[in-house]
Amino acid sequence: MGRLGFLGCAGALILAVIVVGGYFVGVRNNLVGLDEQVNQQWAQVENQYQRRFDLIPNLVRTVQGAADFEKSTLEAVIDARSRVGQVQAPAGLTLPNDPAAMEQFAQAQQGLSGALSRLLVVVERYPELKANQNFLELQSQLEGTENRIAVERQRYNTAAQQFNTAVRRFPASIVANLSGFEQKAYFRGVAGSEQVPGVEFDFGTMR
Amino acid sequence: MRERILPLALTVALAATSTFAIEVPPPPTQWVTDRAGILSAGDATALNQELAAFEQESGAQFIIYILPSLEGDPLEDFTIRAVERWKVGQKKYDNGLVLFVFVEERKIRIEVGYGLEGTITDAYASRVIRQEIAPGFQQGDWAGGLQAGAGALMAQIKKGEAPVEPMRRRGGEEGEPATFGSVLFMIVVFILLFFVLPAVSRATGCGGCLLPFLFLPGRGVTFGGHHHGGFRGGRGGFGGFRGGGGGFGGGGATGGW
Repeated sequence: MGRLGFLGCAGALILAVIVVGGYFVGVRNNLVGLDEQVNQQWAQVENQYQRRFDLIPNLVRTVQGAADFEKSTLEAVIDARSRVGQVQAPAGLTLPNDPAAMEQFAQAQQGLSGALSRLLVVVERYPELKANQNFLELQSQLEGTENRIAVERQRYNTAAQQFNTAVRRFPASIVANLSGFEQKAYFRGVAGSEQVPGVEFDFGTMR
Repeated sequence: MRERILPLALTVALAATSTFAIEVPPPPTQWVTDRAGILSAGDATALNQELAAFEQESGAQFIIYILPSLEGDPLEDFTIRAVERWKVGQKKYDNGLVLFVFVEERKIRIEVGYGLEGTITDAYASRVIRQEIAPGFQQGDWAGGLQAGAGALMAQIKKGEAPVEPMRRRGGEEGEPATFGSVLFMIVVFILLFFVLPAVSRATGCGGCLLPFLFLPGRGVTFGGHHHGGFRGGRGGFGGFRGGGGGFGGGGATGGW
């Protein structure tokens, strides 16, 4: 009978191990899937930024063609573009896994966005450019790309949030820890740009 | 005091933004939806049939949606939410195209599905708005502007090597094949359940006291694919429009008249 009891215990133990192992595998697979989604979505974000990056030389050339176009505006764009080109993820890491590099990337890209939108404002003063078919096409491409960036960025943040939530939830967090999953960095705008200015409402006068 | 006002102010601000955002309308059931009433019934029907026939022929889903106003919503934000919900275009090809008109704001937006981005480039979409649609709209010729714009877009899609396929009902979704690991796991569980467990139970004289182990909560392993909305666009004839599951990434152009 003792022998049989031992067998039972061993069986129960094996069973428990397998069930726990199955749970572990399931959770881990789920995390892997979410992780892959984050990576995929990040690739989309990078694609769109790359697209914008590639558009700029053409844009600059077209604008330069306009008689005495403001030099400083153009130079700001060119500078901002080269700064974007310098940002790179440390070897072996993607940006979502490296908050500091992500921050740098976001800042460089936002700098370029700023320079480009200034350029488009200045263009308003050059009717010759605004009638230029080539420029109009480039402008619409640029606008389309900015819009795509906004869309993909938001989707990236959603994917990152899903992943982060899954990683932090209690029982799964153990699995995540053991498998070396870390939280993904969100793509945030430069500090300040997304804050609502002047939050101090005067409730007395609001009604 | 400040600490208490800040969250309150934030909530107020959030509540304010959420009431400003207009709700995305339910998926349209026709190719042309005119909620602003700018088209005559005859024009709307003609255009609708043209777009329905275009879907039959090319597989691409192209719809027109006219709204009286954005009610202060940011335009691109609204349109991307709309196409994300409506899922215009075939799932496999993402070949959807939506032409939005916002009458009060005098704005036009063309949203281009992923699969058509190469054919309907942002520059092309913008040109269609400026050169085909806007001139008609400026003269109050709504139908003419839409005809011209839709005609140009359809011609471009037909011309381009867009990933299109004549509409045909495809079979159900293929489930993802079970991975090797999950099959193995299944086999192990199977063996345990039918061989080891009975043996242990017999040995210990405790039938079923181990069973609860098998039903621990948790995600466990899932098998097979997910079967989500297998419905496809165009149910033949001109019965009505139905989005096929196409994806959008914000490509296209915005313009006005």
